[in-house]
Amino acid sequence: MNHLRHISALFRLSVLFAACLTLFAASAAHAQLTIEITQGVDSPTPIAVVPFGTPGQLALPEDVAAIINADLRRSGLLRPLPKDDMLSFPRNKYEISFRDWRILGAEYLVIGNVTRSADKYSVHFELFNILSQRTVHSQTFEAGLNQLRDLAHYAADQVFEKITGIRGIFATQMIYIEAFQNGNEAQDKFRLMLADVDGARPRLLLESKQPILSPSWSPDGKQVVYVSYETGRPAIFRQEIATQVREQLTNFKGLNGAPVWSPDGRTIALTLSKDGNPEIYTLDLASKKFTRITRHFAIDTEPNWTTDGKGVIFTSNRGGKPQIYQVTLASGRIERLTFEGGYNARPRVSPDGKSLVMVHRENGVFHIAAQDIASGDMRILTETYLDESPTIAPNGAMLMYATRYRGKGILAAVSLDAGVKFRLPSKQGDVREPAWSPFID
Amino acid sequence: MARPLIKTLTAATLFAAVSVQAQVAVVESTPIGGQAARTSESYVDDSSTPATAEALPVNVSADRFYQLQLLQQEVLELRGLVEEQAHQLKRLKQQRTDDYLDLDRRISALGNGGAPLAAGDSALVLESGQSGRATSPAVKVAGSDAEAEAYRSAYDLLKQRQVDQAITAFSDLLIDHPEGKYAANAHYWLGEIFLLKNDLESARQWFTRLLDGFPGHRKVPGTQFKLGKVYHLLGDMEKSRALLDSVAATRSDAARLAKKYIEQNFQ
Repeated sequence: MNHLRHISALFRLSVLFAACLTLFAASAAHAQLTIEITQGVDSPTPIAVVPFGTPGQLALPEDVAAIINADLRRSGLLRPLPKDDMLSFPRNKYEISFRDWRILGAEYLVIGNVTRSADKYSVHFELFNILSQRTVHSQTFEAGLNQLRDLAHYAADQVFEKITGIRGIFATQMIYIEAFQNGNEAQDKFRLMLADVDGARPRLLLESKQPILSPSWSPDGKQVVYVSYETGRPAIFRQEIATQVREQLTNFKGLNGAPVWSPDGRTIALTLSKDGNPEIYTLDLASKKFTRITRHFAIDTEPNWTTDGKGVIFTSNRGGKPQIYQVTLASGRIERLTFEGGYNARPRVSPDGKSLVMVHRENGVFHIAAQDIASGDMRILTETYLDESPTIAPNGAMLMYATRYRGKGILAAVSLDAGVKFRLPSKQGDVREPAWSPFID
Repeated sequence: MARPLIKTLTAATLFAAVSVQAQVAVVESTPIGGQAARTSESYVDDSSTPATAEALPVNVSADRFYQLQLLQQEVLELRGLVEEQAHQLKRLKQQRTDDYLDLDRRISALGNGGAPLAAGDSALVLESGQSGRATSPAVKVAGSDAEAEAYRSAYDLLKQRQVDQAITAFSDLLIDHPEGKYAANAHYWLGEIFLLKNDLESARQWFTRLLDGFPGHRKVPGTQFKLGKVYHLLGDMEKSRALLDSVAATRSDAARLAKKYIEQNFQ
């Protein structure tokens, strides 16, 4: 059973469970993940986001401009100027002295106002190009009283897209697992969490004394699917985020793992070992019918859909070492995709379908690597070790992954060109297995 | 599954029983042989006692399972090897095609009269001309190309018997490239043309200039012969004979002509 030892992050995770000795944080409050930017691009575009105006003495629960600033800075492509350097806080375009902003070195300027009515906030903002002294974009939008953060993220998305041409991902969310293990199994606690992608507003989706694994989004962003050991053995559940309604999808003997939703939302690909050893299956959600996709005495696991939904990419050690393969569902034809190095696992396909990110082992160290599918060129994106569970942002520009930092499991992010990096350290427990949401409209 | 297994087990037992007699003889001599013999012995006993007979299939099926695992591992590794070699083969094929296309492109560029190359050359000349010294070789090379062209066209005119145009062309060549590598030849042909036109004085000047300006040129013997002939036609027998004698003393083609001319005109 020597080959069993090799396979996949999934297997390594269970080892981690046993090995992690993290002090149990007594406060059960959901600590927010805070962001530390560790690397940005060489010359990010300077931008000034002026504190937003409010009528009268209206006290806001959130500092909208600060949220936008933090979002833009995290992108690594823009460099917001500090508030203290600003000579004035213009509220409308007639109050803007373009000369002052040019001297400050800003290329763009954002001004805005927040107003509140009985049941909603309304945000108006304008984006200026300092050099041409023109309005690039202006917009007004509104949302419920508990959604001021959403409005700020939405404004940041708009600003980012207008300047860089890349769709912003600041309004997206992520799910992840929080694990509290102090060596005494009776006190173990696992949580499935949902948060804004900046780590703010964490929300509990599920808490269990037994491990929770492999969370994955439905393509409409309304449901999640995951593995839970709450029944005493691994079983796959799906859960609606808004209603918390859950449904158990599998209850087979052996391994029930690595569920991922198909792009059309109708099918889930997963790993089952009910027929002897781990194989890839698909589950039709309407008919509840399972279809076996792979047949091999080697381990096949960690399925992921191609962007067109016609194929499944998975990890297999059928070549003696874990490598990434693609099966075309219609023909059953299997093709190996990775040839660099002796360990490539946990594949995820970028939204444009052109790249693959994976866990790649080099000199005994686990990195996140990206591979151009057509050319086969691979580049390593992360320099830390024990990196796992990469998940790609819906705009394809960044990816998040789980890693170890100061002895704790944390989330970190890196741009697909490896130019921008940041960490989201957690204050309590180990954080692992992030899954980046699709665009939520 | 069960029945073939039992069959093979029976066969194995029989084989062991038959071979045991032969092996017993070497038991004492080597420890390894002893191990094998003891196993064989227990096989023989097994056939009579049912209790130990049950242990037998376990041993053998464990062995079979081990063999199966080895084979599976072997297949995995072979499959990996085949996949990697297929990948390398694919890459090599692609690379070969790319290399071929690249080569084909270069060759067809050459076949098209080297037009792009010539353009590159003149660009080089322009560039180096501006930057000054150190570049004179490039200028000279380019200059001689233009000179060769001019010489060829002048010579073509001569071959077509367009004598006057040929005189202009060779004269222009000497104005443009007074020190060029075709300058001596131009002098020679101009002398020859004027000799043909019976303009002996002009012919004499061109031949003389060639001998003065390009001593050691391979046209020198021929020129000396022609100049000797010119002097002879001009009536200067002394100079003519001196030139012809010095040519005749050489080992050139002109020497034969000179000797013949001396024979015909001076004896």
